Amino acid sequence: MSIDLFKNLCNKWIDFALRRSRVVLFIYALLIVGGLWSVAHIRLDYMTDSFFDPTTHNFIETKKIEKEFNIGSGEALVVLHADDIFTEKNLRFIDKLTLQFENMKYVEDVISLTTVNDILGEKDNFIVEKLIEEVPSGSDALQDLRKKATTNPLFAKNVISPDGKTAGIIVQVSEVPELLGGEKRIVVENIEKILASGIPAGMEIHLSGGIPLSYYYSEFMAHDMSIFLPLALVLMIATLFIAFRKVKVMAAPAAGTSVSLLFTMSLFYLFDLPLNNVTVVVPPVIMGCIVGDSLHFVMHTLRKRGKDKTLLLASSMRELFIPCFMTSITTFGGFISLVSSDSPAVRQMGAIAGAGMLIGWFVTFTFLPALMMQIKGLGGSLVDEMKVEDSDSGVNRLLSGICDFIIRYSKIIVIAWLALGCAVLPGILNIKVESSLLAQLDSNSQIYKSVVFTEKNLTGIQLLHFSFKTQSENGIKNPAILRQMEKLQRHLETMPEVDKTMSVVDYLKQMNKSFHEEKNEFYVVPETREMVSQYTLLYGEDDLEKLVDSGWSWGLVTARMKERNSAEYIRILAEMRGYVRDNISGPFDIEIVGPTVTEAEGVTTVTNGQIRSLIQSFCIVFGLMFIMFRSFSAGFVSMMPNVIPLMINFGIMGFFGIRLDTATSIISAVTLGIIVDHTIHYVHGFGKNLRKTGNYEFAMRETMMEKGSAMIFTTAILMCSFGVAIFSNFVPIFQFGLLCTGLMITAMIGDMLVIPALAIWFKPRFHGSDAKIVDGRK
Amino acid sequence: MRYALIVSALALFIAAGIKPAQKKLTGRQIAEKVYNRDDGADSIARMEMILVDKKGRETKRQLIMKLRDKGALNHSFLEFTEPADIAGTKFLTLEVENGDATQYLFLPALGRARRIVGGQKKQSFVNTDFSYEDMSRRKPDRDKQTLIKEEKWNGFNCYVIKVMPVKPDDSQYSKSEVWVDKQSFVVVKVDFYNKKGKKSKQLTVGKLERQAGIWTAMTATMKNFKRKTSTILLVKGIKYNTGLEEKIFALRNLEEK
Repeated sequence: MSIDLFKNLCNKWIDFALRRSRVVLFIYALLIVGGLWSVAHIRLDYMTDSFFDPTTHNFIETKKIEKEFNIGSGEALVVLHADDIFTEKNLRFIDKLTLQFENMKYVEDVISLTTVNDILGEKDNFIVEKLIEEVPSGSDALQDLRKKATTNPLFAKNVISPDGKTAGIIVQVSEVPELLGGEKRIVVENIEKILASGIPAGMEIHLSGGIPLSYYYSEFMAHDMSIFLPLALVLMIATLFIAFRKVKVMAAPAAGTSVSLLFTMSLFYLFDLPLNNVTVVVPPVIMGCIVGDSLHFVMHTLRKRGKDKTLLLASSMRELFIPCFMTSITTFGGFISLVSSDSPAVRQMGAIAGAGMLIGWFVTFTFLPALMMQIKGLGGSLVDEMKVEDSDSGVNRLLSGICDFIIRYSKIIVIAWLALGCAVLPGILNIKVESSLLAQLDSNSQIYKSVVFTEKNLTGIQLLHFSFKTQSENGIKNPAILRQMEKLQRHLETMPEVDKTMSVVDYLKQMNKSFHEEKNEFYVVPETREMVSQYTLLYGEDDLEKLVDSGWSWGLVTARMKERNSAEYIRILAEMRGYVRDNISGPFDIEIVGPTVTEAEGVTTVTNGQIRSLIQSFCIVFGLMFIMFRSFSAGFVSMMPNVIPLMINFGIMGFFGIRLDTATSIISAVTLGIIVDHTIHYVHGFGKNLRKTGNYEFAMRETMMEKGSAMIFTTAILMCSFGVAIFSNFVPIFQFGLLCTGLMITAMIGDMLVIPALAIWFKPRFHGSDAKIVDGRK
Repeated sequence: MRYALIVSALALFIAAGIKPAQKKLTGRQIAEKVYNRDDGADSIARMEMILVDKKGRETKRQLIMKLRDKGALNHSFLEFTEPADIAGTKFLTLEVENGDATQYLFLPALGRARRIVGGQKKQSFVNTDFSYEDMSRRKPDRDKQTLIKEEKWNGFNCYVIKVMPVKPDDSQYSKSEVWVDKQSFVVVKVDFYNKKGKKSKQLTVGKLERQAGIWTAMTATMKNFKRKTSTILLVKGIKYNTGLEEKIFALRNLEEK
């Protein structure tokens, strides 16, 4: 009943697509216009938050801190380096830059040597003035200024290096949520314009900090967008041309693929999802996956004899309806397994790419045949012409040679394949996980160099917060708690990985000293709560808001860290947690949070995501194959050629030190669904041919000739689609492209050599093939 | 002009009983009427200061404000009475001829007064949304005033004047728009614009009452749009012309308990 109903529906569908092809194309034309409009309105996400799990305690607490203390990724750091910053010319330049930055749009505040306030206590006076009211000119005055600036803990490693050779200008940016970070982009571009207008001789300038990092992420993303899709399209068209050698023929799959791609991308707009540096790979990947159905459909049709185009196309549609659906659903299964990832970017990638697979299948069986109906000259005569060309082609000779090779060496092929799987095991066990954002950037890129320069000469830019929460208003004013904060700071500053720590204690100590005529013995935490309260009446909230909340119930010790890889962060955090547990106590709750912890915990996100998506994609994909083939042996034959390419991929990563990260962790889920497509087509064809004769060698050879060229050209297009990712500026995306390209090759070897070899050697049963098998032969 | 307002807002909000103008006034004339209005020879006010943070949490402080005219200049004495940890903290501000002021601070925890020296006009005054500049009176001739419209605001018939510093560096603001009540010449609203021309703060007077024949703003709120905070000043009691002695505004008095 259900099968009849399904067949009936299929027939109606096919009938409509072919006999009402103009109506179908008209509907598609309208949808294409809508799709183009949607794609033009896709948002770009310049932030890096989407890489990380937003539900973790650390992520939530970090966001709370950023909101409460008005901190976050909202800073650009302009780093100026010279033999001596304290010359009149250099200081005037810093003053000029500061004023120019202050006047820029979206800039909230600028902190530099020429804006910071200095406090000086005298016997009867308490002087609060700018560190530099007027730029001095005499060498003595400049030396005095140098000493005053470099020895003040509030300035050192903040706006000036202790050696006086490197100065920092911190540009704080107002957040405009609706611009999704676009305001930061404008600020960085304006800073760059200002810096490009000239710098003093002998001075070196670098642009660093959270905002430029986000900016260059977006720049690299835009670069990737501009390269990936056009290049993948060109390569796809070139491959199709090589495959068909007729523009009229290649136009159909090219158009079908483009339409599917357009509709898939418009989902980003429909679901209000932005493109980020993970989803940026969706277009080429989708294109490579979708083109397979179109290619199989057109090649299948061209192999048929006959003059009636409608009948030929209807026949192809009926024969490929289920196999193509199955290949699409397995690829969908692979992608959709990513939806369980903790990373929002990976989830979005999985959902959109998965949906794209279904869209691709639908377009292949509606738009493509309708279009082929309307292409003049693409009829029986052309089909015959193509057939003649086809039968004698070099590809067919190659396929025939492969068949001979398989028949002769089937056992060796299978054993060698298994041996290869075993050989890569040590590599798999050696894989390292990485979630550092800086590690995603090319070490030759300017921003990478600037971050390294900043860390070496001024301060680390990676933030870590030690959150001290008390239960009462003004709790942090308790000198006992302040002394615990100070103790922690002292310890942290002994750690080589920590560049600088800051807390409200630094201000209070400075104030205490100033109120005691600058005597060094008073550079200590004030003795009483009253002193703390009274001192802080003199500080504007702007100075302290990044260190203590307005009610003084919550304070921070913020550490600036040097950039490290994830494994080191994990070690450092464990050490810090141990110290805090054993040495810091009082009437407060303390925990360590911040971007550094987010990156360290990203390792867990990546690892868990990898394990989960691997298991899920295996279950979904191979479960579907077992169901489809309704044969355990056919299912087993299908698995082996696909599992080992994945093992080889992980082995290469381990051997060559390629880290498992947000991008490389999705390889298995993305590619498994793709590489089994060939297997499905091959095993499906093999079963069909085996049922005809019961002869395994005949079935193998016949299937190879039917499916082989489509497999080769689809693999070539997939390699091109993934291969374009090697032009990315992001290291993980580059590695993703390289590894996926390699995986396509090994998977094709698995499908074209190992499956036939297994079938020849073990002669597995295929659903419905028993009736004609006699001793494995007809 | 806005600074005259601040003194009003923070301290006494005194108005002169000047009769409404018969003919159309210029911006400058309005500013001078506000600056020169009779705010009594002296005053003592009990006030509550409510600091509202960006999450709406409130911190309350109680204080006593004493004001006395000395010729054309103004002397003020502020003492916090609550909460306990800042009780006894005193500020003394003495206007000087050139338009600036000398400020002294007494911290009871240290037991000594210090003169606060330095150009900290932009800085927040005792962690409120008022800056030191907001706290200082300012002669009308340091600004250029333009009458831009007349309108009713919050029940007050107002002149609206635009005030810009003659020398841009002379103020932390690029301009302000000031609503002056036509009847009392008390400033009832000010929009402050930062150097980029963006509205950064707003002062509003909620309640205007006549106390001992002098118009007095009983509540005033300064909102800081950047920090999303506000400071509310409530006058809980006020006396005018009490005969405050000059010695109250002497440095020695600051250190006495």
